[in-house]
Amino acid sequence: MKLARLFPVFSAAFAVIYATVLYYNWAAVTYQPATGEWDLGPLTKEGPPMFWYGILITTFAGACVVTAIAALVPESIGKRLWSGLTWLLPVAALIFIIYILRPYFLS
Amino acid sequence: MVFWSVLLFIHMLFAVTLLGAITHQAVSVTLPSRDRAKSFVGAFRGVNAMTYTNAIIVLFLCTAILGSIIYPNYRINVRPVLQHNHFHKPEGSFELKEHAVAIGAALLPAYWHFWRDPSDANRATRRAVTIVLAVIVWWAFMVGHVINNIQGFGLL
Repeated sequence: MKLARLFPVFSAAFAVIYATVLYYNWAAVTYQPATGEWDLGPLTKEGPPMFWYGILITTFAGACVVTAIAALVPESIGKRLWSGLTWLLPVAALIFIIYILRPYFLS
Repeated sequence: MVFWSVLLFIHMLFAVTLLGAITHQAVSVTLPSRDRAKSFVGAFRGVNAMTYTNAIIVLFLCTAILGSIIYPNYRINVRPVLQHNHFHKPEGSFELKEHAVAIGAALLPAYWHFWRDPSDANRATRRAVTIVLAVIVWWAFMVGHVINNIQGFGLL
């Protein structure tokens, strides 16, 4: 399946974009669990806001764009890329996220 | 409240099953063994790792979707208690869990791709992707367990 060769690209791109979107809080939507409302963009109102769903939406869209661009790259060039990036980039993204969350663990 | 408790319980059952499956696969792909009959450990290491792939994907997605449905309840009822009692480490651990699970879920297409056509060429990547997924599942399970039982751990 030709589409399947793009799956590793999607996975790696998702991880990198997720860490970036989280850092800058580029959430597409915000869910307000106290009132059950959805708002466009990152928005803090009454009660605790939930950006996670919005971060997922932004990241998914970004990863799809990167994957679509990768689909235009000839397969011969794509094969030269090290497949280990598929796990290395998510691990790097997780380490960066731990760095972002360090105040929780240092306080 | 009963509805959410039942949902949390089902979430846990999926998580336990996923934990068993991914651990089996990760161990068998890291320390493969052909002496299945000799011992319990040998049998544990000697399973056919490939047969677990689709089940792990379905279990991961079911567990993650159920978790994301329960998640708002955590934000309203549990997280404020953690913050009030200055339990920053459990709170941060749960934050890391939600991000790790999102990245793990996105890793599933690649995981499926490398297990669909297992070859010597992608052996190292296949093993590494499986181990990363296993670590994410273990982290998510342990944190969920601690948060769910935090009173029982004597922290509250």
